[in-house]
Amino acid sequence: MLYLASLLPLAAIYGILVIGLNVQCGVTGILNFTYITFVAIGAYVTGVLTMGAPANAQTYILGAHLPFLVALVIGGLAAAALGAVVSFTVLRRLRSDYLAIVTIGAGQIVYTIIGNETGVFNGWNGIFGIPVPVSMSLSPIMQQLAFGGITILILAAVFFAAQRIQYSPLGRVLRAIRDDEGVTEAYGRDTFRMKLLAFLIGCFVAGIGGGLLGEYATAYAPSAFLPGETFILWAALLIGGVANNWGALLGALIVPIGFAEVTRFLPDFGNPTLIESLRGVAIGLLIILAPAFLPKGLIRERLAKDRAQSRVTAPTEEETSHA
Amino acid sequence: MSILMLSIGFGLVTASVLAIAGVGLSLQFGVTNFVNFAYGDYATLGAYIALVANEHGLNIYVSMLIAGIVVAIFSALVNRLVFKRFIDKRVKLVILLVVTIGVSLVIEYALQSIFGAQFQSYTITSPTPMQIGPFLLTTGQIAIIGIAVLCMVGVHLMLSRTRVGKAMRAMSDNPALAEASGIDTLRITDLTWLVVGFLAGIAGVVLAMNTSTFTPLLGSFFLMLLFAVVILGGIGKPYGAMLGALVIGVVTEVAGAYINAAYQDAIAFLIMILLLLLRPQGLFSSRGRA
Amino acid sequence: MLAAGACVILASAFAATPALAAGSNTITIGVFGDFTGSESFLGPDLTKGVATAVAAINAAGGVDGKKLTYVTADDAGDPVDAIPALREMLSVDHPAFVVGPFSDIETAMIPIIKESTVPIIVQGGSTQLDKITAPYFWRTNTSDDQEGSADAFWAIHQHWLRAAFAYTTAAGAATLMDPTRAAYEAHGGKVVITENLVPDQSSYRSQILQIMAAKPQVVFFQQDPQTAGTFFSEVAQLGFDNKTQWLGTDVEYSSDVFKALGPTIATTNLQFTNNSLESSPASRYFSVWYNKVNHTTMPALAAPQGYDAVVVAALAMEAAHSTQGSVFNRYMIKVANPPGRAVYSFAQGKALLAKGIKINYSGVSSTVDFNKYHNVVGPFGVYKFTANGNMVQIGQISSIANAKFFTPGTVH
Repeated sequence: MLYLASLLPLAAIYGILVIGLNVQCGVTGILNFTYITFVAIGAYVTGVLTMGAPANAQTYILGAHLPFLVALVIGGLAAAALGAVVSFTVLRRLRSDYLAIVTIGAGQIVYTIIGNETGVFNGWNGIFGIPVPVSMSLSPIMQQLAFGGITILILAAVFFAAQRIQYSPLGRVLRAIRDDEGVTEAYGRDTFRMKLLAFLIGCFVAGIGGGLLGEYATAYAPSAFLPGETFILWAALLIGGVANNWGALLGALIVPIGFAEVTRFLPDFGNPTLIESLRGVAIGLLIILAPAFLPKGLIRERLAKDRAQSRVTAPTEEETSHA
Repeated sequence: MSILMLSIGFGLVTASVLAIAGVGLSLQFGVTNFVNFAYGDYATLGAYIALVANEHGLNIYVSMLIAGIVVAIFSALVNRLVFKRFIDKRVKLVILLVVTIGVSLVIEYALQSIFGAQFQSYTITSPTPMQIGPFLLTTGQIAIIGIAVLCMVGVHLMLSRTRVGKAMRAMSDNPALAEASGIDTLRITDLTWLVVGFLAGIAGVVLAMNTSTFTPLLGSFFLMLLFAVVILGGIGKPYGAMLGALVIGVVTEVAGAYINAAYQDAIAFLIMILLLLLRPQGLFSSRGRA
Repeated sequence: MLAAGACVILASAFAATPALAAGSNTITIGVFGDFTGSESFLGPDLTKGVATAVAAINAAGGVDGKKLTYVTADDAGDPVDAIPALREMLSVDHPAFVVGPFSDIETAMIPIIKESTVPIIVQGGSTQLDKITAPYFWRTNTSDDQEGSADAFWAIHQHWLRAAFAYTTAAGAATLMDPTRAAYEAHGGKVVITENLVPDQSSYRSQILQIMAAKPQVVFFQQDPQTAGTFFSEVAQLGFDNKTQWLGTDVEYSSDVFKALGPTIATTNLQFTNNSLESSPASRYFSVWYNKVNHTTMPALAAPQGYDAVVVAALAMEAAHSTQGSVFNRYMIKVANPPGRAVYSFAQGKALLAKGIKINYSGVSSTVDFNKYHNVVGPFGVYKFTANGNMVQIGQISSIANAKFFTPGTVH
């Protein structure tokens, strides 16, 4: 039972993470292949801000005893700040693949710095002992449920905000940018500023999700933000439904939670590595097959409201693949 | 023996490995106009195929050749069976890139399922170092440099002397015009994938030889360095990639000797990002293509 | 997919039986370690030790007539994945006790260890766990403080007074490097250069050059097998393998390392320490069973420590006539610590317990005498590889000598 209870906050956290990715990539079309790095910043910053001065032979910056929600928001802002730094390289008129490559490179640089500069976030060992924001006097199950309640509330807030963006004029412009940036610019929109905004919002949400993830695990380390983690979130987005938030939630339930957790229950073939490997193969297949058979994911983007206002444009030569 | 010269020598070896794959990646991008994020894993596949051959008693160089051929075929097949479907449907570039990531994951984890996550090594005789001028290299490393040179010469001859090669260059420069001039773009694309796959397979084996131990993740990190190489040289410019490999190979190795070695690869990424900011067409290219 | 998944999870959670349901006659042990990720050799190696113990114990009639069996769970080497994995193992598999995890994530597991109601016998050496107070925490692997002083002791006594460090930057490595350095410098050694190696890189040549240029007499190292393979092959390529002594740690006590280095390099000037009692009768008994179960005589890292963990817990369960953690937990000390008649195997211990005699299990990896923090103190052996991958002991450092050398590591 404790296990099931502990899945509740994890599900909510992944929901938040996929929604953030959706804002950046599903709605606006920015290919962020290092989303997990922003999640990590959120986890670290929120973590150290709640941990107080370094103890237990750890070394890190920013030790403080801030209340949980304050630390969480600052964590989100820190992730957005990193996003601002990255976006000045990323969002100049770079085509999608260069953008993707740069995000990978930037993520690798951040990973290397955090790992090697032990003074920042305790290096490769990572930080541990992050205090849980629920009372320790509750039983373990109640702690998980209580934390689950907190994460669900935050998820609801994030979801609501994302829905507002989705169906606002900003959302329409972002989708127009995704579908055809050139034309959108020709209509006089400042695409750079809009993309920057979307990117930063996505990073902020990633940071919030990351902060919650760190609180959930009570620890965080570089091994937790390897590049592969980003692609689990991508798979979730693609399966669940691109550019819509219900789809993001569904994807979060199916892929990181449903998929990963169900495979824990498969009988030991005597080789735990095999199950893990097959799970990886399945994620890869999902990423290939989802766009092929479910081009919009399980829950399609609702364009009815916007059909009157969006133009149907042909993709530019630069932006489509050609034989 | 000065450390600097020795490091440059090692850098040449690293550059050789990067060059073989980098030329392939650049060529493929030029002709097909999208980045294949699974390219590093094609190299890994090559390394494992050579492992199987090597374990059956074949000499490593023969195994390398076999690996090259198998990956060439694999690469052409993946294009036909997977990529082409998306290209024909004219999906957005972003989707195609994500699909290549999917292919990458499938290859990595399939290899891990079959061979396990632990590392492998080739059975080659223990190498002895030889002093060549100011450098200290083993016979294996000299062979690697030699293979790289062979591949470069081969690619150069193909691009400049053969009709297929010229067609590849035409498609790279201006796809619409190439098609209009009657070039069979489908066939050239297939051939490009074959050549590029062959190079990837060879590169994988050479890389595995150089690192002595390898796992299914061999290629995916290597790919990131390849991006730096290809961007440095100008994406779509195979000759640029050769020079880019030289720069990245030597700079990372020398940097590793003098600054904290943990950052040696990070430097390559920094160079890459700076280049994309300041001169997106690459150091050696004359036209912009960003 | 979602519905199916939910059904499977719910069904399993409700159907899972406790380790000893009424009428069932198997006891489940949990093995928790790295089966994937950068330290993926740890999990399988530990499993070899656990499997050996399970086979030996079952052959001796099991615990209270019930057979042992084990399940494994992967912590993937990162805390975010490890936490749900351990929770799942504890609440679904209901093991009587858990063996593992290792130092890369053991500190992150402290909250779960503290709230556990079954013994968790940790296998990593992180010094963070030297003074932990958690009733169900046990550790059969020596703390890195001790291993560090053992390495330093050996180097000083061999008169290797100029040293280099070539550790990887893996999680959990610094906790061993610091005490080694502190003990070494406190007793007259001089560290001339420290090179930190990023694991699984393709080339360490430049760093090797720097190390050799400083002319150390010994290089202290700890590297995972894959990195060691690349590193030492490059050392050999550069012609340095015979120019200095290489002194490794318990991570090197592994057939994976031998496989990575190959026989030529592995037998050149390479030594390593591990907490183990080669000469004890327990060790001979263990070797026989290890060979039977794993079909090899080549060692596995943490296999001896894992084996001892299972034997002690099994003896505790036997003595308590219970498989409930809350009942047999306090018997762990009773069967492992003096006073008592020394026993060297489960079979021996079981027989004496049946006669009501107090026993004191002494194991393969140490005498398994828990201090008040449930940690063990080890004597250390120093080993070399033979050409066929076995190990031969070339030195011994007693616990007493080691304790004199002990110098706490500084906070890094």
